[in-house]
Amino acid sequence: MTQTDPPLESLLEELSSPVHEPVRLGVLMLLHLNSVLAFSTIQKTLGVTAGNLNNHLTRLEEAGFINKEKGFVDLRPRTLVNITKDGRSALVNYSGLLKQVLVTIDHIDSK
Amino acid sequence: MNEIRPGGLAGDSNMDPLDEIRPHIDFLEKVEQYQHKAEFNRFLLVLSIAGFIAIIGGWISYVFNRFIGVDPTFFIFGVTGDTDLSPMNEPVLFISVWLMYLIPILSALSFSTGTTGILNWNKAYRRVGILALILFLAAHLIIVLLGTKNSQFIPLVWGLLVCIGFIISSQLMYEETNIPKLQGGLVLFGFIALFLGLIVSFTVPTEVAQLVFGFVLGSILSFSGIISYFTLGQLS
Repeated sequence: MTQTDPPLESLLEELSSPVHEPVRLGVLMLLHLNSVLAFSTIQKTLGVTAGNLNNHLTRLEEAGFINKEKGFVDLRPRTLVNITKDGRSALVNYSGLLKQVLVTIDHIDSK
Repeated sequence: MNEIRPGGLAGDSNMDPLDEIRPHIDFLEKVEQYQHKAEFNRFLLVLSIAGFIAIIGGWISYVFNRFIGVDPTFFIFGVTGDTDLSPMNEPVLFISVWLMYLIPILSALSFSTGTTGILNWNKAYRRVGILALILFLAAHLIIVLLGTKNSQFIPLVWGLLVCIGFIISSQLMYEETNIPKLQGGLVLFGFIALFLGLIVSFTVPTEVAQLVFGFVLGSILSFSGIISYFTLGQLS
């Protein structure tokens, strides 16, 4: 497909937000389902480097979607990450849009 | 960055929109795999706790049979047939046993409401919890109806109701988690409980029957949970 239908194009434009990046989407989804997770757990689950994850977490923290704090897991100091109310709403909005995009793509393909 | 720029797709404007969001879907699949394993681990924890409760239950039953002469079920409902063991004559024991029953149930009910931030009980666990409570009450009712003269059948009653509970739970859990291992495991444990209840009822003296039933079944459940956690479960 080389030409994008106007509704799909506008939906894709609407997707533009700090959430619309694979790693950041993965982080928010994990935190939406688990409330609090250690930095290392997120890193291992998503299979990204510590530096890369740190950059994405900083972007999400700047957007007010997550909070980072120092805590203990198995008696070891760890960076714990949790999702904020704004983060949850952003993810819910994004998920709705993503679903609409997939439905629209499916609709265009079936034509 | 892989963000979509307003007015077009990131990178190549001729790019298929599906290719654009494919990396996002790939990462969501990684999240799904994590949740799948986390759910399995949560199940193993519940299984180990259930085993521990079975062991404690068997032990309490033995203490009652050994030192009081009846199963605790008859005592808590005041149907021992012995006036010396009526709630009026043994108020301390009566109230303490009821508290021992009620506190874990009330705690489980309390922590099943709202979000604790520690455990995310899903719909299936809530239904399993309600089912367990109904079967728990049903078991007591059947035991009371059987009466003290049929005490040797108590392990069979528990075995039968545990079997029914595990089979129904297996279906509820499978619908929610879609983990076949979990479904098969629960059905297997259900039949082990039924078979064990049957054997114990007809071969073991009443005084120690519940102890044997609770210890064997509880150990199987707890150790299966613990071993499975170290071999099949655990997150990285």
